[in-house]
Amino acid sequence: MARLTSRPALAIYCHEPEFFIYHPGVKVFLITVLLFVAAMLLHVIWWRIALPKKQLPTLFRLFIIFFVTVVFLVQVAARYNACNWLAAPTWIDWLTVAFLYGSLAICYLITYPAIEAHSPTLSLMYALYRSGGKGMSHEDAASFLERFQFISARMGALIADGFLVNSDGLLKLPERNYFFFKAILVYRKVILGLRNSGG
Amino acid sequence: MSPSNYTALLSLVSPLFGLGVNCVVQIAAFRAFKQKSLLLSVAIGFLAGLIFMGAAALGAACSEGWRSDFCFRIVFLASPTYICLAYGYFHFVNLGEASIRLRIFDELSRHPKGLPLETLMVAYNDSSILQFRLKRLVSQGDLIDKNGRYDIGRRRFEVVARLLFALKSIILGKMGNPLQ
Repeated sequence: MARLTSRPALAIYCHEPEFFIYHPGVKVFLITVLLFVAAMLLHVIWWRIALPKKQLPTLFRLFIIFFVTVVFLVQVAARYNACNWLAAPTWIDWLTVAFLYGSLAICYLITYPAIEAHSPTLSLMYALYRSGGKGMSHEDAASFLERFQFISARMGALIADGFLVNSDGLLKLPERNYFFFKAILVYRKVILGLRNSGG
Repeated sequence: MSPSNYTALLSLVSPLFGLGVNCVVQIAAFRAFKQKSLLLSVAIGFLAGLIFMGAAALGAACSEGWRSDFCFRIVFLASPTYICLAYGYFHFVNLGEASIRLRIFDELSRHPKGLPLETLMVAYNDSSILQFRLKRLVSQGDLIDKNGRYDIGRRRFEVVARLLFALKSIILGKMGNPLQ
């Protein structure tokens, strides 16, 4: 009893379950899933309350800041013996958490432009699915697709996200933010030997 | 290094090696097919990476002993990480095939001083992009063009579209519905 009362009150309720001692991999998995689900919940709540102007960069920062903040808070909690079992993972386990969390975040970030803007192909497929097997005439399909103004929408999103600069009516590439796209173009041309790109 | 640290480290780095094998095999397969089937080469690369990861895990399990924690790490930590990384690589390669953004970037990279929006819109207008996409969907069998009407052919894009628009409605609410 003397030993228990000498520790912070919270620690009494935070012993590491024996299962986790023998199966640290399960703990790593649960921490990663919880972190990712919490980050996604935060994202959905934020987007429903106020849609950010620069959606993709904001989402990218949200994933990083949320992860770093939680890891920092867990380490601080562990320092004061509160929920010690959470901080018990070794540095390799933390790296594993970071890898899986980062990979999941990358997957979502890659998919997000299709959520942010309406994809022509998927919008048409969705409309055909909703037509209940009736299909769509060529004219209806053309007018359905044209009303979205995909190119203008993409241009607008690229300018808003800072990937394109509109200066005096001229569209330019910014000096930064271009590396990723340049890497894809170089990879296609040099490694895969392709000349066409996009569309 | 203790055995548990060794297996933890192996499950940490194996997705990266798997990704490396995936990239090398995909490039080799794509070049071997004379640049004809990008999707098939991506699928072959993915399987090669997965087999490599499985073989490495099997080797480690045989030499270090079959511990349940190691098996759990390979199945629930290393494999999902590899699948996510492979998905990222697939998009990296496929982005060049279908991305309007990349096409705009490609055009602008050839004009460092910039281009007027109107010029870009003439070259890459909605109508030309949409005609190109419709043609591609029909030739791949995803759309059926029968009696002057389009209908769904292969259902792969329909499934993706339904999932995506469900996700859109959760995140963006009514704004996420393209039919509104």
